[in-house]
Amino acid sequence: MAKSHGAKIKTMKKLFLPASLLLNLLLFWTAFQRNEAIENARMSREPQVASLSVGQKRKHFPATASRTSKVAHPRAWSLLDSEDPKQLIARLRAAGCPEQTVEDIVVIRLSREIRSRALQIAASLDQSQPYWRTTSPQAADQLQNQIRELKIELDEKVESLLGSSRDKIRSRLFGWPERITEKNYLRTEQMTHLREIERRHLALTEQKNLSDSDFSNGFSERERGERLGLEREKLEEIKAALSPAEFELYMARSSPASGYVRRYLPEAKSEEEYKRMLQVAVEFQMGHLNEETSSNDDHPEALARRESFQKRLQEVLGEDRIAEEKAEEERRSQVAEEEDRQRSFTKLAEKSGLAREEIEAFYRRVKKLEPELNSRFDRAIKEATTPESRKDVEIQIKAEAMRIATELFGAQKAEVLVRSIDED
Amino acid sequence: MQSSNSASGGSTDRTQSETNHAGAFKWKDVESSDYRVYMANLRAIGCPEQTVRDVVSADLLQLFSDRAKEIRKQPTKEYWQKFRQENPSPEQEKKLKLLSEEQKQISKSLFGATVRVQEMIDLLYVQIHAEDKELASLPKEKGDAARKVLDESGYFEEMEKLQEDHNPKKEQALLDKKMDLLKEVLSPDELKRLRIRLSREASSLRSQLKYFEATEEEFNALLEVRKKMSDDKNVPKDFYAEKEAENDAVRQVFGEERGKIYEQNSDLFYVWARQAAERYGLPEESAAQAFQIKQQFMAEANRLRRDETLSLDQRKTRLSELHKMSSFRLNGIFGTEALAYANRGDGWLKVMEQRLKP
Repeated sequence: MAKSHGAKIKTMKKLFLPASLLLNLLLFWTAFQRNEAIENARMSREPQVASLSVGQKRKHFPATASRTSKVAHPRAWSLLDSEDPKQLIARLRAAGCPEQTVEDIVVIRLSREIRSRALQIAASLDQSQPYWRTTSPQAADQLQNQIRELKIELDEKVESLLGSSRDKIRSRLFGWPERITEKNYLRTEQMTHLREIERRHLALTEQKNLSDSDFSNGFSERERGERLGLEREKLEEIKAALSPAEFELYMARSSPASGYVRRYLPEAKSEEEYKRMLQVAVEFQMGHLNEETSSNDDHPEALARRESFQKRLQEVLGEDRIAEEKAEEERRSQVAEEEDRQRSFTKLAEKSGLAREEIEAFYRRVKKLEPELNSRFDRAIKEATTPESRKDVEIQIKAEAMRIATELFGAQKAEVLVRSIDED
Repeated sequence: MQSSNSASGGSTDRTQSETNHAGAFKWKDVESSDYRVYMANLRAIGCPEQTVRDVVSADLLQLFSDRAKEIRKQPTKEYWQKFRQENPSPEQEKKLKLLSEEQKQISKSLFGATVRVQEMIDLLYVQIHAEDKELASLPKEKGDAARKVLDESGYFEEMEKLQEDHNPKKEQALLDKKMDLLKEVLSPDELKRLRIRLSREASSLRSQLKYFEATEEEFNALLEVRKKMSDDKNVPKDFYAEKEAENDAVRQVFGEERGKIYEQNSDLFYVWARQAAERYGLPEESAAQAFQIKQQFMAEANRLRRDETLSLDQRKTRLSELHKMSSFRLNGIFGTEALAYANRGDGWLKVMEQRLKP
């Protein structure tokens, strides 16, 4: 509908950006899709960094190892196993099972049980509606809540049984960094208490139609004020539940303002600078509403709030520091762009079967011809306002790419190259 | 917690002597530096297959995660530092790819099938995909058989690759392949339902029919209308014109009266106006009144656009007056807060004014 129509226009705009994007059209005219693919890969959490110790290592296929079991306890497992996880853990530990293996067995079993329950709830909700009807927003919200509650149940079980957080165990298994926002500096009872406060607060915001999902449809000024008021109340409750030192840790690591600073502000040069930035974010209650991160939110109140926040931040950090960070961000983006280009070359070489040097030669030639190509296609790109005319321009650009590639390494390879770019 | 060892059911009331017996057993007796021996030893003590698989696949997962970390060499960050997901260098990427292949091969040789990392992620993060829900809603035996067929065909791996590619054409091809694979397990009726449940078009249509209670026949007819329109190159690529063409086509299928209801209740502005009415406690009819105002405005705006007897400036002035008048009427029905909400769905007032620009 209107949004997807907007998205189409956005895609076309990206595809037909003038001048330097002509190169992208020739080389990476699917840059848009690829960037999305990179994002998706990030979302699927490729291995990252973690500071955990290396786990137990095994050989996969040692030449000399015997494959025959010499275990003389055929019923040992039935005596170790238990439906009561506490008992299972105790027995495994008593048998000298490494703690990591105990954790693996217990966490996987509990997760399987919880996931199966979540799946049943989700599937039965889906099936309660005929396939031609949509689930009501209320039922969808209820499902979200039920699944969230199941995850909390799992968190609490893991913490109380193993004395370790689910996040920590997952980080060890997948090699991902632990979430900074994890409240592992608190005792188990305090974490439970905080969860209780958060749960109550969430129910209240939902009841008042002020939850994050409501916000995705936009809050009025009155509603923004009301939601921020609720956030202040929640923070007060959290403050009362923790000692001053714990509350300081909470604010620095787990609060919405801390998430906002780490995610959206320039990187701090020191912890001290980070804390100064955090102070401004707390003062402006940043991180509580999606508006701070949504450039689409053009509500005057949201714009004014963002502007005042930036002004105050500049005062606190100094103009030089802001300019320095902008320059650094620019440098980082250039490095990332070059890396991205190199990856595209490798991918294209693999896909087309052409040598990487040939791909690079093609790129260099296009780059050299850039001024001439731009003058030829810039106007056509700008004037292409209908799908048909855009298609025409695309055909012309492909023909030009074909001509350049043919000159470089003959028609056969040129065809392979252009087809590979097109299919990518 | 469900014990996966059926032989050990009710083990909570084991006698003291049994516990002592287990106490005599030492885990080091099953440990081995060779996964195959480790698995054989676990089986030999009666460990159920699911647990053997859990223990070894978790061990393998961590082993390879550690190796991947060694390749990527990302510095540890302090809590106050920004986390940046840095892309691996081409060299690192090559090594990681080889590592992933090695991991797949090992798990295949150990378990007879690849243990997908995504499967472990879904399990430990309690993630549920549309696919899982569909298979879970089938009778257990059928669901298991369907999963087995898909697993053995490498469907899930293809799906993971596709998620990175984000290519609708390939997605459609994979859905076709999936339906083809499932033919041997599901009945034609089950297949049809599954296809509709998982199809992008059906999902989009369902979400747009929030206030139009379609019958099954109507829903399928609407899907057909949309399919024809997406195949028809003459359909205008303009949002409002496209919707108008759809309304005409639907009227021909549903008849005048039902077609009119569809036109109103599937209109984006109507949907948002109705949501606004629900959110701010206004009568349901407010949405229908708002829709009428939109209809009148659109008709007049389109007429003005084509009226060559007026200069561009005159048309602009006329449209601006029309805009003010419509906003005034809408404001009277909704009030500022609810109207701002309703306008978020479909900015027709702004769009039509912009279209008059040369």
